[in-house]
Amino acid sequence: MKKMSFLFLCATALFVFAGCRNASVNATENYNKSAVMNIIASKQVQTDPNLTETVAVVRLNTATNNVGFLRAQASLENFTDDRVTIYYEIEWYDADAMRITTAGGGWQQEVFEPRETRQLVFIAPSANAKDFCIKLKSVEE
Amino acid sequence: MKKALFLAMIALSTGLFVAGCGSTPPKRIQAGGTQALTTMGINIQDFKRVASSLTQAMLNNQNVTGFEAKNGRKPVIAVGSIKKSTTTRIDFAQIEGRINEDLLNSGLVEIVAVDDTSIFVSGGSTLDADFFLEGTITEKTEIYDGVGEKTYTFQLRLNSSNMRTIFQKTEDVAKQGSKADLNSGW
Repeated sequence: MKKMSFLFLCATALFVFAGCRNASVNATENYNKSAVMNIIASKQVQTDPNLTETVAVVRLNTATNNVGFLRAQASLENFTDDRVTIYYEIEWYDADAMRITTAGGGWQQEVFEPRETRQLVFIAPSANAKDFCIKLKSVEE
Repeated sequence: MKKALFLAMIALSTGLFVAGCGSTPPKRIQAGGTQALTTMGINIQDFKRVASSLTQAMLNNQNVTGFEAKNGRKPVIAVGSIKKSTTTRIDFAQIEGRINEDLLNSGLVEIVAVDDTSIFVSGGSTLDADFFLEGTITEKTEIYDGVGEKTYTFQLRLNSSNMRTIFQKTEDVAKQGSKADLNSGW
């Protein structure tokens, strides 16, 4: 009787927690791509190992529009089974490696569903912008 | 007597100690940064994000980027006002100013500020402007099971001098909190 009660309790707990789980994201895309992606090499500086294991940039690609404005796309992946909110910010630099400031932008929040991969797209503030740096930060509870 | 005085001093000291520890002195933070407050209204972080998104989209639009190559000069954009249709108090200068600044600093366009937007509609404009920029902000509130949600929709439109819309971009800002939060802030 005690064993049955224990098993029943375990089964109930399993159903409850299964219902509380955030559903993760499945994705399907066309296999033969027609788009040509310019994937660039990136250098990552990681000071928060927890964040690296949660959400990270997995790919960077760039393009230039018809008036020479640099466009950058960062693919970010959520490696966990939880919905995660992070802060991100992009900084732009000119040909002299001097930062270009803007009135918009700054730190922004983004929510990632469990196991989701999503692209953040950025367009340079002017044709003077030649390089960029994308920063990520955990949201403190 | 001495005992009463002693107890009074203890009580006074305790009160002062609690009051001193309980107060939170003001501190400087990064505007719209990670320490900034998030309320059910539109915060600085939201203004910055929306301004950036709308401006970036416009600077990537073919009608804007291809204008100089076709006409030999930069396009002149007359900036109208942003109309709102919300109950929330919104400081429009926060978004208008940021959009104007980033457009100007892009080096791609020239800007003319316009107070009276009807001059374009009536065709009585003496302004030598190629495009007219206008926007709207609308708000939607939903409540369910004690949870309140506000969605602010920003829409930016670029119209040609004959009032044809050649560019439009929509950006949403959604906030969720308790039902009490809906009424407490803006």
